[in-house]
Amino acid sequence: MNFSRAAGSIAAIWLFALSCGSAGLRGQETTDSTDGSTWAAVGGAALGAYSGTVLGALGSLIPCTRTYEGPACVRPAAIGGGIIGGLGGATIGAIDASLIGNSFVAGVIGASVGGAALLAVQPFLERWSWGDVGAGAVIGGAVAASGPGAAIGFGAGAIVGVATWQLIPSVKLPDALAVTLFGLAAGGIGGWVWRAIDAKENERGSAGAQPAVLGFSIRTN
Amino acid sequence: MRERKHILTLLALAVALSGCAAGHEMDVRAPVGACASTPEAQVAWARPESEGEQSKLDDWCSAAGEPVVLHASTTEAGPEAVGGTSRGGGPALTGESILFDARFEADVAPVDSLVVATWNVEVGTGDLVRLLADRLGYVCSTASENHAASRVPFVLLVQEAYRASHDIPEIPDGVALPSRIGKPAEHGERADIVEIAAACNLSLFYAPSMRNGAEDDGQTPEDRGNAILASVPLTDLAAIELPLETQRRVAVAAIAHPPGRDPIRVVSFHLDVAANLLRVLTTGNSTRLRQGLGLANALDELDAANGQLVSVIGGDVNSWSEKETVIRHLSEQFPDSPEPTSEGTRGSYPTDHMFVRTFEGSNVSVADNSYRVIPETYGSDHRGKLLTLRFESD
Repeated sequence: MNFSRAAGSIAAIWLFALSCGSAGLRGQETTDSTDGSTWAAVGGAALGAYSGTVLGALGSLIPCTRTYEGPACVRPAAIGGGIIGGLGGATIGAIDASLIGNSFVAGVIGASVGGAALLAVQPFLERWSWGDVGAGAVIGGAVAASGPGAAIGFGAGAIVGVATWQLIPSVKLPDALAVTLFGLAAGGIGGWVWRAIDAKENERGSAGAQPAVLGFSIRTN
Repeated sequence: MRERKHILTLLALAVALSGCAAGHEMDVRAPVGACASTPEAQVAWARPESEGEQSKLDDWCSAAGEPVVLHASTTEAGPEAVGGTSRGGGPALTGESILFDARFEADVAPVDSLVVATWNVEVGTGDLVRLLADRLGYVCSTASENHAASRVPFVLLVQEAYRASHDIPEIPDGVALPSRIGKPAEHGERADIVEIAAACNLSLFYAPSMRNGAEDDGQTPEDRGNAILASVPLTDLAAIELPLETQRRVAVAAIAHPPGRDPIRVVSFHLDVAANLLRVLTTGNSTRLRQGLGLANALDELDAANGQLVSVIGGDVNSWSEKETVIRHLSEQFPDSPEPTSEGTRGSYPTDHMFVRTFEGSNVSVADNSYRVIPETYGSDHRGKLLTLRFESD
């Protein structure tokens, strides 16, 4: 893959993210705030697939460089993440459009933070391009859209990674980084699954919480 | 039903994008002309086939000098300059062929072994002279001492060698430059690879990868790259521009001629540390694998006409682990390689490695337990590695 193709891929992912986000918002506008819709499900699938794909790639990068397959090992992780995230997002959107709308807003904020972070570190990098800012935004958006699962996974991964790095001599800093990124990815992709299950349970719960109605009639003389 | 169709379409798009993001491709051909080709010095060139990459590589090359070739003299008169640059980055060209000649076929006693070492000298801060004496038994003072000393012939594969010369061209407008590396050396002056080779009467093939940053007023222009320094003659020189990932990297290849023995292909290379974030994300972090496979492909093409050759390649892989993908692939391509070791060569990281390929009937093998890390940095930020090739009697 050459640089122009890489830039094209990033642009495609961005268009993908924007379209899925607008779809999510449209879903919000055209339905009751707590109801799902076709558009919300489609937007949710798109947002979840984008988020899961990027997280899958990110989490597998370092572990895969220790295998014979290398980049070929990243591909199934990215595809798997995309499918799981897509199914989770579709499920959420079909049940509750507002949840997908919230994820989209979080993704936009995350993308802004990710892009700004790459812009801020420019003076410290030997080679830098606007494509890197775009890549930072893509990662930031994917992480933020996945909800709190990514943060929980990141924290757990960092604790485990740093602890093993400090306690086991053969574990080095890149290993700690690998565990942290894996935790971030697993937490983020798991977040899509967890939120889909949660939405399903809420749906069932709200249906089951309808007050019992006793049939009776009042007879008047 | 429509909802499901939308979802499936978007999922298919996601899958297609993720596949694209993780892909990588390799395409190398050899030899072709390059911006720094030196026909007088008969250096073959190999580079990526992609025109886009060639154009970027030419930009990098335009700020660096041309390769330098020195051939160790068989007399005490010092090294004989047989190749260099019309821009004068090294000694003046003599126009003499450096291809295999009768001098190497002289009736000499065959040697039992050849030591091959690899070392990143951190742009001259590594004390080459001391390492030559301590680890290779080569006292670098006068030619007579060199020849008087009984020693095993050696080849030293050098990374981050540097050359200072006023003949290195002006920096063209708009060309991106790497940062200058030039911390003071503990042993005194940083060691210019051309000066060392000349002073020590060693064969040298040096091909710069890039300019060593922009110089301040009064500083001599410098470039840096890979080199082969040897106590034996070097022929069939080739510069291999690796697939461009972050910085231009030129591996140098030569055929070394241990006295009385079949020639050995030797290669010094240096892979990128990492690509930028965009590149990492869209290629699945294939930077070093792509460069390593490009090097292997180029060597196969270069040596297709040479028949079977025992090959030893060594360099700075910039690996975090001895299990990295590129190391696994190079070990497969060079199946007689010693087991990659986890022992650190740059701090605790096993960044430097050597790979070996022999063939049936070659009578050459890596001597048992000879592959090891040199237990001192000699002022560099890397420790070297070495192995001994053992020649079996016919």
